[in-house]
Amino acid sequence: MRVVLCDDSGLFRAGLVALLRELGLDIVGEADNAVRLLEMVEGVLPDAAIVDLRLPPTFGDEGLVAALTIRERHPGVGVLVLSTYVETSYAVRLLQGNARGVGYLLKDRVDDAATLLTGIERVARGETVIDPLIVTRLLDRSNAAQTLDVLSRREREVLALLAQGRTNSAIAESLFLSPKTVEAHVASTFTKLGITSAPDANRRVLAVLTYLRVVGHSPEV
Amino acid sequence: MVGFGVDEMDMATSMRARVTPGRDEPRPEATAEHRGCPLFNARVFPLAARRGVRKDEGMRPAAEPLRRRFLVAIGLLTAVTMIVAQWPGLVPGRWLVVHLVNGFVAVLLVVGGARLASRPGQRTNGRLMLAAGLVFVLSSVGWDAGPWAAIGWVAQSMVAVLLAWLLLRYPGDRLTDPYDRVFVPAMFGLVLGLRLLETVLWNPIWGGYEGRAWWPTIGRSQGLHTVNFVVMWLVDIVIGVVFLVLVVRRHRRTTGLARRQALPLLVAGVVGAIVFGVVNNVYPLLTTFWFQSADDVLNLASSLSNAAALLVMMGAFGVAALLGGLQRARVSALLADMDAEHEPETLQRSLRTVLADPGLLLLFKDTAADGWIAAGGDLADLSVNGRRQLVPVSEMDDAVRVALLVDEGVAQQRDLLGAVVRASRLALDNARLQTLAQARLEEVTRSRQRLASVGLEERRRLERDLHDGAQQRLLSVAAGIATARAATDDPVMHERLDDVRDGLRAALQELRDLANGIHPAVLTQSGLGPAIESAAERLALPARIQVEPRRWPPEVESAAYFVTAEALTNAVKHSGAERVGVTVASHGVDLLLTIVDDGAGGATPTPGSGGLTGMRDRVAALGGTLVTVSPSGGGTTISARFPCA
Repeated sequence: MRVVLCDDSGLFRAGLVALLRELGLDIVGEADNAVRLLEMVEGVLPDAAIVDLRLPPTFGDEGLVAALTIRERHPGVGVLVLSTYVETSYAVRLLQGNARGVGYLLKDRVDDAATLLTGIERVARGETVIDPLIVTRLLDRSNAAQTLDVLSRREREVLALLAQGRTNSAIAESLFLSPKTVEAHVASTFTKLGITSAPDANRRVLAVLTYLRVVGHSPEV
Repeated sequence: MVGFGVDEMDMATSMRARVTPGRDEPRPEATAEHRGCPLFNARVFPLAARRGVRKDEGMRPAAEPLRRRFLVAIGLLTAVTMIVAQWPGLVPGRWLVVHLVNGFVAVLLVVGGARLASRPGQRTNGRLMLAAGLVFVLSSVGWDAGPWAAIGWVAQSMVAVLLAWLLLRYPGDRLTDPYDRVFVPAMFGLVLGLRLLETVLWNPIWGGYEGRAWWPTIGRSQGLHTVNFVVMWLVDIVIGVVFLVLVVRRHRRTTGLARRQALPLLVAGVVGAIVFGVVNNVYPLLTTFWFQSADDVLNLASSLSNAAALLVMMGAFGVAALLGGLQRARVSALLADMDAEHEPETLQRSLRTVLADPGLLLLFKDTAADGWIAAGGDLADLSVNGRRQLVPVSEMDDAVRVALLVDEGVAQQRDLLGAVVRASRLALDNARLQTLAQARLEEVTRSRQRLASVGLEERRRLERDLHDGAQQRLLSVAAGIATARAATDDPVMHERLDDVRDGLRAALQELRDLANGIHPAVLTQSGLGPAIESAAERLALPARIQVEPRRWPPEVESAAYFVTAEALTNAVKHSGAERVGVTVASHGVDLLLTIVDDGAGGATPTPGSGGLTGMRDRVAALGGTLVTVSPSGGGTTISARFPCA
């Protein structure tokens, strides 16, 4: 698999390059700012791009904006956004519109080769990847827990994986269930929570995340 | 009891108030300055009745009858002199009327001038009028013998010149307009010069005088005389027209309180210009070129018109003086109300009303900044002055701490200005202290804000440094460990590396918390909404967060965030709240923050203990307010307001 990296910290980039090479990926380009990244993607057309959220010149959300641009211009290129901190609001922004082939992971995930590799492969395939930490935070809010009481334990597990962007088959694998069962769980979860079912794994991630965010806010205090 | 004296020197430098102690005060005559005749001593009596201060009984009644007697005396003297002067003409007939009117005018001028001169600030004006009167007496002399004819003839024109000068000055005490300043000496020079020349060129025999008249004639040729005469005539008309223009200009220029007096003066000026500038010059023209002999009717008409004009002018002066007096009475009434003013701005407004000067500025000396502070507390910019004058007001100890920036027309009304200043002295002092205190307070607030924003910048830099430096390094080490782990299949190695990885994870988490505690990056990037949401998420606290989608100044956002973070932490850890509501909204230009929880309540800010006191400090450093309502068992509400002007 051919990947392009973009991070303004030379130190981090070097470490990541070493790791990805060890994992058998082909690094076809390195950039330290968004403009360079876009040029590179244009020229090289990799399978995936790994982008830091904070990039020069303002170190705000240039990485996020670049990721969305790449998605628009080159739908065949998967983009994985890495960040030193994960914010639900960024995740929601990333998922707006076409949620195919985008991912948002905590940079810390580099300490686990398997997670990182899976993430890159999934976005290259066109799936959606959301860091479990976001999902955990959302689910753990006690109020959310109350609302989610209507779900069975299985359904809650399915919901968690749904929120991470897993496809039905992936969920089936993780939970050792048959795809049909998973489908049934998903359908009943959505019905119970009142979420409009979305046709594919990508769209429904946004729906679930939004739902969880809203539900995490308490009613009148 | 307070007695006031006025330093007669340049009043632009100071107006002093000397407090003299009670019964033992020196007699006013001893302390006030004398210049020759006591009449011309401009003694200032308080024009405004100060509350609680009785008028000085020793001064006024003693001087009044004295002055009145004096005026009566000189009036009679003038009348007698006029009778003597016009003696040859005092025979029953048409001319008697003229002579009587002349006598009356002379008395008016002399007595009026003397009276005017005794008023404060009108000394020179009064003297001018007095001089005009004396010159008028001279010009009325009807004796042909001796030098009187010549003197009388020259004097005649000087009356108008003196009154013209007076009209351009009154009620001020100097000519301010540059055109006026050029005109007056030119007028004097031309009129006097040409007439002296005329005197020398004209032979009285041509005019029908017998040889008894002493006339300094050197002229033999009537032609030369005629030329000079025509020149004189032209110059007079030009002067008359120019004077008319200047008088109208002056009227237009007059603003404020002097405006009320301006109309009668305009009338006087116009009448004077027309009669003395134009009509008077028609008569000699007629006698020279058409009626060779001095026609009696024309002569009579000319004299009558002159006298009538003078009467009209004196009448106008009288009206102007009356209006001035009424105005002062009105001002006195207004001044009585001013005593109650304390706020600098209301005091300034009162002064503006009283002096009819809407652009008046009340200024206080700021020794620290070496400038003047205006009533609002800001440093005054005096460079754009235009037609304004700075009138310093010196106080009991002769120091100047207060000044008024007034229109130059108002500045010229020295007596009025002086009275207003004296009456409001106490209020001015209060206002000054208040303004200075306000200015100091604003300085302190501004410096605190600067400190707060400096601190913020430092913190943001620190957070970025942590992110760019330490965190990235640790992360690359983490990548290195993963690389090493992937490069080997040895399970022992895997286990060891996993241990290392765990330690690294902990380090990263601590670093992250540290950076977040110093200053969360999401606050800088996305504002209060996402930052507060994130904080609530981290605490696993269900929160209803409503944040107006806008940005505020960074120091304000930072303080609001940390107050909220603290409050949320307290809600979870100390009061066991289950629900929390956070609202951030604009209130005018301020930021209004409200945090409500349903916990146990009973939160009290004990001095010295972090938490609530820390919150209060953060808010106070930016000039805001914090209110905590926390009844035991009833939840806690924290409201903070941050000014963002």
